[in-house]
Amino acid sequence: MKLKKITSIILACTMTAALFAGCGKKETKEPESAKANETTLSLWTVFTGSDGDVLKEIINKYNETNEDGITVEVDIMDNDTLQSKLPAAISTDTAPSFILVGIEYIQEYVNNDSLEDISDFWKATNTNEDNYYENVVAKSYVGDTLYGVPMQYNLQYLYYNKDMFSDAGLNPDAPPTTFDELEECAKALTDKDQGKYGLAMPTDFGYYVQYLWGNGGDVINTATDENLLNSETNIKTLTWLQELKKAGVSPDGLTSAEADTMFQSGQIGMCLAGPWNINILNGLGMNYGIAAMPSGSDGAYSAEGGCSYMIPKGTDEATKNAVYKFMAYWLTDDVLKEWSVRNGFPVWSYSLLEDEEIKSNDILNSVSEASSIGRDWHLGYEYGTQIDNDVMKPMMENILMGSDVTGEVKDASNRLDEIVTK
Amino acid sequence: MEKTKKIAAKNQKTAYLFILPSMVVLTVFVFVPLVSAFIISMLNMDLYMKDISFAGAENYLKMFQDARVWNATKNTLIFTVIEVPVQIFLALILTMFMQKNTKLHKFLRASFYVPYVCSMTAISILWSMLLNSNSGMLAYLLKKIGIVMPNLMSSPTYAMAVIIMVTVWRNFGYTLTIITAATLDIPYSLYEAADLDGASGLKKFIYITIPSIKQTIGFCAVTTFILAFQAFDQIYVMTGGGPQHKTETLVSYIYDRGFKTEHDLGYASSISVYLFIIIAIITICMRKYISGKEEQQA
Repeated sequence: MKLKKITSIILACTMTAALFAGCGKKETKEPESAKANETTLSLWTVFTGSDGDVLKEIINKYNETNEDGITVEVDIMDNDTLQSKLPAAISTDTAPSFILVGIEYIQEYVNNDSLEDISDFWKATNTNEDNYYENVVAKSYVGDTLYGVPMQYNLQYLYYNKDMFSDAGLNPDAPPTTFDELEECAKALTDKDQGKYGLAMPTDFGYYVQYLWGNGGDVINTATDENLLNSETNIKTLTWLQELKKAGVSPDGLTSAEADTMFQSGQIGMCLAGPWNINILNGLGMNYGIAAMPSGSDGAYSAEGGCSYMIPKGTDEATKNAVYKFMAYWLTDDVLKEWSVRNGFPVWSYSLLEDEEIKSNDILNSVSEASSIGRDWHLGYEYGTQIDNDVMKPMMENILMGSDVTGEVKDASNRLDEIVTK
Repeated sequence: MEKTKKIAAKNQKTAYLFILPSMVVLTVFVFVPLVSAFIISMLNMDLYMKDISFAGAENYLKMFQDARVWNATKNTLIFTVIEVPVQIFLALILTMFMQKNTKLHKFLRASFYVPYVCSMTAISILWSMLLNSNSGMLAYLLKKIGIVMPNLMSSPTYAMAVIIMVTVWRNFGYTLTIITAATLDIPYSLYEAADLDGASGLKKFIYITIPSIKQTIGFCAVTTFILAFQAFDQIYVMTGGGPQHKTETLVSYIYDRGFKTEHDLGYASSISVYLFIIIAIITICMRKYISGKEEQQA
């Protein structure tokens, strides 16, 4: 009886103690040195596509070849997950050694005092800042302070299926350069009986602002918070987009991910996307071309984007120095070349532009040519995410589903006012 | 007498020790977050936990003026009011054919239970791929016979129905297992007596099976109802709350405000408290109704 009682007590205590087993503090930011001079760095990033495989290969190569005893452990997750995990991780001192995310988040992180000032990066690593495009590097600065090291730069490009162009009697070497030509090509490529569509118009596409810009419209003046959405120009452009959709050039209720898949399978003739599709399209051996965003009455504009490496606040000096070494490695021509050639991202290093292989790469040349019309779409603007989610996305979804354009623009404009006047 | 009291007290102490682990889990993962949610709902606090200030009832006032909260409440109610009865009704119908304990019936019960042990996320991805009108298998097969399948998940009319269908498909095996287990405890003599009276299978089910398992059905109704009110995974994966917020439930809106768009933990917590109150009120009413019925019968 006594033995039974003691066993019961031990059992109950063990079960209770076991609950606390996972409650120890995880020292993720400390260099986990198994041996002297060995450092393990944790990296959180959002490269869930095939470019993530290339990223991992480059990191593995670095882990095997670097002479500083640095090992980078990469943790890839979707953007929503990372954005919801990171603030809590920084607050609880469990953030990774560094992160690789979109440059649009830098301002928000800095506003919340979540990033380390890395202005000494260029000097500390003996890296020549002037060797890189100023507009690309500038996007990692807030004021005069550097908070990120650029990893890639991109715009949105027009992908077109050359075989579908030929089948529709269009010149496969003459992609549309204006909105009118875009409409003509989209209609010519569409054959709904065959399940073929001319132009992808996904409801969740985040860059319809490019069409507004093309005709001289805009959404917001980020410097003054002035709401520019409810204008005749925008209503006209959006009505044109709705008419195009009503003409059946795009499947109903399409998502961006589906648009990429349908373009890859030859069901959609043209789509707008970043360079991350190139890697897959090359792998499929597809006969496709890349062109710049067509122009409207005011010109051609494409939304800029990119990713930077950033170091969360509270990272100790030893870890920070190890991250500097990896970031400097990324900026070498060999690595940037591998990234551009394999993924099709435009080159933004002057020294790499002189490389013969880069000069003779047709896809990269097309991408580089199409990369001169970049425009800042609320990068670093504190209400950027809210404008995307609460203003633009519902407005475009409703307009593409056939709702009254004027009413939708008015509603969206009111929502925008609510956001910026908070 | 004194000795009996001492033994009882000792046994009580041992019993407390045994419930200690579950009490620790409940405290850490239920009571503390619950109280925290109440407190945070009265604060101006974002995900970065910087510049926290007292907001009083501000978040609640904002909530009552937010049209998306009412839209999410309506969607949550629609989802629950349809999903819960369908799931229980389907389980009851199948129970009629599952009351035997043969190998075939055991196999079928296990098969119906399999989706329940799979993650809702995986199942939602699977159904999204199957139902995709552009590249899904179902659309392809229908096209072969000349039927063009609409894009169900992007349709304001069908999206919620699809979410409900997938939820029922995944969860009804759980309800079926519990109800079938309860039916196996019904004395066989009742059915024999009914046989002697010439009762049909349907009559036996209505007049013997259902009254005998009323308590179990009540339990299933309450648990399924609570789970339905907390639906999130399938919505996040399949529609993201769209199209036009037609499938946005309270939990998906809480996630949107707290972790996706505004990072406003205070406001998200106030909606969580609102959801908690709704669930608590309806659960208490259901429990009272069920226990009232039982007392009436007794």
